[in-house]
Amino acid sequence: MGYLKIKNLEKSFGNLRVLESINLEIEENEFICIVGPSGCGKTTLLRLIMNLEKPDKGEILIKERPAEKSHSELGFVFQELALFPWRRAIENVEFPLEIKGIEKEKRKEIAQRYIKMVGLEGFEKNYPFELSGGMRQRVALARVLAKNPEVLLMDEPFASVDAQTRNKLQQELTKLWQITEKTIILVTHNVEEAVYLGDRIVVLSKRPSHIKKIYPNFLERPRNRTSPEFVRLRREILDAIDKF
Amino acid sequence: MEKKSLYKVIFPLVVIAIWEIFSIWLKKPAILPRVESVLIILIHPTQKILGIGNLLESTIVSIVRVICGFFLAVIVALPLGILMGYFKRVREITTTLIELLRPIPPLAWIPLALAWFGLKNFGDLLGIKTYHPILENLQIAMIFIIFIGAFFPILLNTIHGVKGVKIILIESAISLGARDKDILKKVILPSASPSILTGLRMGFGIAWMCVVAAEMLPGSNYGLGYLISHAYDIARIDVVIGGMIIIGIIGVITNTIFELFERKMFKWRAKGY
Repeated sequence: MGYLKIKNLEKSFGNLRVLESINLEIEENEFICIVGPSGCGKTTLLRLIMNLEKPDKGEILIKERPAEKSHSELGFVFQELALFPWRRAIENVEFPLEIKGIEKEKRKEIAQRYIKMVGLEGFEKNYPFELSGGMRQRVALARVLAKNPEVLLMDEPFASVDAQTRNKLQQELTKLWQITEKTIILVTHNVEEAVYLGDRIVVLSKRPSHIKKIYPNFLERPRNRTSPEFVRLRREILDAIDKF
Repeated sequence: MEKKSLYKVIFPLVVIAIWEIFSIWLKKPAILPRVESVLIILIHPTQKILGIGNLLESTIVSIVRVICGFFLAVIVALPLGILMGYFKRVREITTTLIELLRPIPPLAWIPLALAWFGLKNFGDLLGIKTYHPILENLQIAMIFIIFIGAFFPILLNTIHGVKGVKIILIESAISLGARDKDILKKVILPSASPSILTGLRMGFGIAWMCVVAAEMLPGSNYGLGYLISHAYDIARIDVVIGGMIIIGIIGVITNTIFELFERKMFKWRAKGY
């Protein structure tokens, strides 16, 4: 029985058919990576789950309830910078707690915990413009964790940081996932990232997208990017994408 | 003194020196008074000037008028600007009228203001029969002109600020559980606030220009505009120039206050954001 179920999902923007008959079941605490050619509707799929877009057809269920009623179970990490520039790092992390009406002292305490969890101690008071790309995404991660959703939807969260930082963030995300036991759906165009992170890697086809293939990934964590098994899986997925 | 601040004062001093030389050479105080006679006016702000009030009282009356007109403009323009910036439909409905009214200079409203409100003041409006030193000097027509002057810069900058709120910030707030009122309070207003403050600063500047012009209207009995136009009638050009200098100084002071405020409030702004 799937924790999160996507059934016959379809979405068009005007005449542009983006998704057609997407069916996917995701288990609790699973780390799913979605890859596919650019413009294939990976982001749209995430936005539909978050209810930032409405599907034309089909449904999304979380624990058998429609996803739009499970808003509090979902958190979203955006590709672009989505921090509030007028709020300091810690104030950004406090945002979801403010919304929940948690009192100031308690809020600070919780936010501080998540700041620590993403390794940003000492930068609480900085404004986003004073932080590097990698640090900003850490703040975004701490902020979404502060909402404490069961499912994290991540839309190319590390696309705008350099390769070194990206590797580091991937390591840390793996750890965070293991500690917090979230279910994560992460969209990326970077196959190496998907193989490094995912329990399963979902490959989408070109537009209108459907699921081309799902690759299970049993490699043990922490994963070694240069091991033959890693490289083989990565090659296999890349070839599959190239064929479209 | 720092070199930079030295540069800032040197040119005004040169202009004052030239003024002094000319006034000595001209010997006609009814055209160009000596610098000293203007200074005397300025350092004795409470001195009565031939039955047209004194400099200090006139300044206070003008400031109170500006503040009233300005606040009325804020009360109307700010919510309207937020609605117009946020809802495309509201913008579509209102934009033609706004665009039509906007290019009309505030002073062109004066005849209409007089026709509508005459010489009535806020004391009359509130039905207060006894003399009230503040309400008595708040002529509705004047406040209306100031209101018009401050209204458009505040409105347009608010619209601009609200329209410019990045969608991703709103979506990000929604995904974090924010409801409509949170989005307004915690996303739209802070995000638009730099632009709104620019509008307030521009609005206040124009309001200040409008009050001086409005005080030259018939029915005016006090204020800096009244003071300088009547000082001209009695050939006291020293008072005219003194009044003008005060108008300038107050403009600079309020502008500086706004700028300090902006710098303090918007530390979070950086290039490219």
